[in-house]
Amino acid sequence: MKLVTFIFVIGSILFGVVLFQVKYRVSSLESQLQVVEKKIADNQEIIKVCQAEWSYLTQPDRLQKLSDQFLGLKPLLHNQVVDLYEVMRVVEEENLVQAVLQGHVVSGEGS
Amino acid sequence: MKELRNPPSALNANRVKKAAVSDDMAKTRLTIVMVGFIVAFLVIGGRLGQLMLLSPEDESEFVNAGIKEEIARADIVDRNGVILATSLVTQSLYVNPKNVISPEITAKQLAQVLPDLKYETVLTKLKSQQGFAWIKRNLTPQQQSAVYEMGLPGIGFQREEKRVYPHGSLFSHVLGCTNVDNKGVSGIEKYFDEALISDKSPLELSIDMRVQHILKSEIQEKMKQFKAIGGAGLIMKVDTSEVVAMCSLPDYNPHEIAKTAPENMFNMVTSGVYEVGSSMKILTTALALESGAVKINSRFDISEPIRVGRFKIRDYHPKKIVADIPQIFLHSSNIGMIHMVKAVGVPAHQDYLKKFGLLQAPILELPEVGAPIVPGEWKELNSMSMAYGYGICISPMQISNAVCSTINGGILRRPTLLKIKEGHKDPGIRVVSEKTSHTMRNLLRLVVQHGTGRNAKAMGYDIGGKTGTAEKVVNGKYSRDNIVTFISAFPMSDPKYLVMVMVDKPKGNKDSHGFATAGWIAAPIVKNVVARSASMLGVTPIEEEEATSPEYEIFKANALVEHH
Repeated sequence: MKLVTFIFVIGSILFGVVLFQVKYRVSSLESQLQVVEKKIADNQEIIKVCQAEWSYLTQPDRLQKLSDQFLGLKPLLHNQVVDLYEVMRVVEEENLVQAVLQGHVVSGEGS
Repeated sequence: MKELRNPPSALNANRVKKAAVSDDMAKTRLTIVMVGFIVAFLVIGGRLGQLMLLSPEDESEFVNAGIKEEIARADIVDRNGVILATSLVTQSLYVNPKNVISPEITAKQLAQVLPDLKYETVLTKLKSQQGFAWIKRNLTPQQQSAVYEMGLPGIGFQREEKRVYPHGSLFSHVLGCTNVDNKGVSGIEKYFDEALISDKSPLELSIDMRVQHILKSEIQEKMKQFKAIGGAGLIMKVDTSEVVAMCSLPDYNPHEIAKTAPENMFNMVTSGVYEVGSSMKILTTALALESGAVKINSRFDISEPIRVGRFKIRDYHPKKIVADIPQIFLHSSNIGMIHMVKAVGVPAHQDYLKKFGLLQAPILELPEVGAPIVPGEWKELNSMSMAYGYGICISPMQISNAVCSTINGGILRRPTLLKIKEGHKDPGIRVVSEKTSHTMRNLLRLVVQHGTGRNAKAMGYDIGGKTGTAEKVVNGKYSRDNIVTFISAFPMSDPKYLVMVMVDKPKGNKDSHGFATAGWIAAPIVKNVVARSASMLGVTPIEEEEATSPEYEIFKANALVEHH
């Protein structure tokens, strides 16, 4: 009988201690969670503000003024866009000229 | 002592018996008490455990209710994801006058920190008998902390949302705006008011911010140069009817709607209906060819003016010729157009205009959509004046969308401001055949290469288009003031984008040799817009000076032979 009581007493103490520890752990995690959630919400708001600001700062009107002042960029002209085949043709022509100059290829007129 | 060792007497036996009985009773009672205590302890222990383990959840829900407020109104972005409208959290200042100790001092201090508030107005609010009054909505963070640090009793902050348009007035007629309570009052904001609140993902528009900027700045520049009172522009994808850019000038800053004049809120592209003049000839020609009543080489005498009712209709550039269709189109002959419509007949003409969507208000994702003004009784006279763009008022959006169908292979689609995802293209309805559509492309190219649209010729982009210079109706009479339009598309060999530009009441000056016509004012805008935006829109430039096709060469040879 005494042994049973003893086990029971020890058991309930252990159980109580574990229970309290679980409780405190849960509540500390919970408060951490709240802090993190608050931070996430805050950061989301900050991100929104930053996105709005980025959109504001990249207004084409503003960029154009800044570009005119500091970069001197110009709108792309139609003759600045070329076909890839055109590029290949120019490169090949250039290679041929180099080859002729270095004497690898003898041109028709002979030299 | 001896006596005690004696065996128990009868009396003793009796006592023992009694003791045994009371022993039993005590045991029973004890058990009852024990069970009672055990139950009580179990209940208390259970409740303790319940409180320890489960209560934090209830508690956290209660605490979190304060911080879990989410932004209620979704963002609006352009087709490339650039933010056009967003909601930011701000704090608004309110007062509970019953808790204010000294209204005078409080009002004075508030007026000092918030300079745009007047002392008197604040004071009347503080002295009012109500339990609540707004002092200022949407404070900046600096203002908020300044007010907070004064620690005034009766003053409080309320978390609120403020709609922010980072691009200011650039999209005013597309997006519209919201009021101080965050409800949409015009434009996309009003049309999608509920959707923006229920769906948190950003609303993707078909608009391209860069192209919008180019369109607006080019129109603005020409309006200034020719002292025009208004201007409008529209760029659409020809094969899907998506609106890539749309502007109407003058416009307004959506952050300051209270200070905006009502005429600035008017969207010329969708709300305004106009007699579009010669631009209508695109549709007249397309429907005449499509009906089969007129062939491309049909000839009409355009040398004599035509009598329409009380009026004699003449041509702006009279030609003493019997012209075929490309010539009539190139010279923008009113007389020729009237002949064509007469050949088509009223019922078929009416039918085609209906098919083009000109006779009812277009369906568009905006609350500001104007219904066309169509004659109640439709006689041949009406058809004749409509042939060259008078006697019917339609919105620029309507005619632009109809023109899309004449050059995209013949399919009319619903215009839209929302981005259409790959493969979700509206099948649309066929209004003209592929063949007619091809002919129209060549005719439009002819006008830009050799006709009134010459000033729209942008090197490398094969533009085609039609000018329209319409006289404005002032007090029921046609005045000398013009509304000039240019409806164009590029590249004409396989049209990708339609560009419509309209300028209201320009005044000719020496830059336009005194002319206030579409060819001199609207066409150059298109040229600049295309030259600047084509590379962004992904249109490959061509090297030839004049793009061509066999059909085009025949048109050109015929059209030019009499006069050059």
